[in-house]
Amino acid sequence: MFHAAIIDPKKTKKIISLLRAEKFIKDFDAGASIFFVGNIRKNNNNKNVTGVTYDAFDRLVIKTFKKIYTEGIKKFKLKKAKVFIEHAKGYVTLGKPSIIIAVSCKHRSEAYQLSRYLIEQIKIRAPIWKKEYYKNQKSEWLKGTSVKIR
Amino acid sequence: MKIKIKLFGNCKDIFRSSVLQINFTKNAKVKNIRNKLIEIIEEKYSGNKAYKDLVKKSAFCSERDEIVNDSYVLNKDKMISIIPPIGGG
Repeated sequence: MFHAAIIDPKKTKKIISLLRAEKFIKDFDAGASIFFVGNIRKNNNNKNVTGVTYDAFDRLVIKTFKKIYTEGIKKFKLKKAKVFIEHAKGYVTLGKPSIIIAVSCKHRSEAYQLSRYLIEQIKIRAPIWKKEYYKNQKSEWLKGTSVKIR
Repeated sequence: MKIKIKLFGNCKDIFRSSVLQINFTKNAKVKNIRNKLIEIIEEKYSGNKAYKDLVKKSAFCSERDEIVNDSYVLNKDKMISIIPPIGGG
């Protein structure tokens, strides 16, 4: 089972939620649940960050998440896994979550592996961009990674 | 033919819009679109190197949501998206 969404509070009137994640991946056959939460941190490249604006190509992001999930299931030969991925869009303030990846699997080793695979691939493949805002009132788009043809 | 170019991330700020509409000759290629965007940067920003590099490093995505290379011909596409280097999470 798989759930993916881009959450733009301005449009959806909701924020990314650990409670929703927990509810989605709950499975009495699963002995392991992993929750990865990416938060806006205070310091990046020696700059005091106050918040981040995320932009996303929503349709392509969801397609990419699904593709990465399918690849992960195949790569780790998982018969049963539940995955929940939500990424924020728009402005996210310091300390708040930008992404939640929740995974439930039969055993812990595969849950850790799948969770790690998902976030690492999302970082280099999902069309999402971030603009950091700093304490000195300046802001900048982060450099990022060029997308490759697959 | 009129092509809409959908912009994301830094490209929205550079071109001050989320969509550009540009006239191209029939059977334009992605390469032509990339060059046109670089041309606009040359004119508007006196050839700002960082902006030009961003466009050079960007990928393009067809209407079928597939990443396409510079030789891709926009036969039926009326829109193409420019995908600058990414970095979510």
